[in-house]
Amino acid sequence: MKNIINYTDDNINVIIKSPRIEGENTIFESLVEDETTPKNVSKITFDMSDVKYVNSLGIAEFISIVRFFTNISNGNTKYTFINVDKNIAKLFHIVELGSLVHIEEKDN
Amino acid sequence: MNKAAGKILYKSTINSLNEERLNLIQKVVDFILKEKINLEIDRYELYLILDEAITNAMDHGNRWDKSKKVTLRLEKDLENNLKLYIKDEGIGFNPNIIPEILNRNGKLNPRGRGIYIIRRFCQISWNVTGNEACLTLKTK
Repeated sequence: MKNIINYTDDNINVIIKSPRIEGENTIFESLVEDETTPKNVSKITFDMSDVKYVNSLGIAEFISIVRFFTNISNGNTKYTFINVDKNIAKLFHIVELGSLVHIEEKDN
Repeated sequence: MNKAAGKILYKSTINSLNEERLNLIQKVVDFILKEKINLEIDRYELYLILDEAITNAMDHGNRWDKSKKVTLRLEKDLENNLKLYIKDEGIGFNPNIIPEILNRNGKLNPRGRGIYIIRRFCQISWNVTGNEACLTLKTK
């Protein structure tokens, strides 16, 4: 299922519909390679409600996205992951993604 | 690599294909549950490290060449730990040059996290060539 991307002012909201993120790079392509997506934004929110599993290739995809937008905005873009499964949140912290982004766990 | 003990509990060889990767991970998880092997790590962590190890073999080892095989086998060692061997048909690598998760500028490297994740949950070692990983999973 395709991810849903909304723009409001200089914010991007990404509702990830894939239950597994394993480096297929569909989120990266939607945000970075799609020329219609605004690039100089102050906040990107990823809604992870439907995401059940992320592996290291999925984490690499998120890091590539963060690096891309951080470079463009000179570090002024903020990133928030909401409704994150507790196992995925734990993994994000293990690989230090939690030092770059704000993570809000799902209420289980 | 210490191959002590080892009655083979499970063995499977697959091609480097994504569907076969997912299928094998689930089969191994199911086998461990069915055999009531009581690991210190939970089911999610087991699935994750299996995924990382098999993905490494297919990606870095076999470069996703579907004609190249990945062989997985499970054994128990003398201390009742579960040994998980994963072998690919690649040229191997030097485990001493695994990239750090932070690069020289202190920024997160996009790659190189698979082994880092595995090491958080179990021990990992390699044969001399570097094309066979051995994960040691402690039992309760």
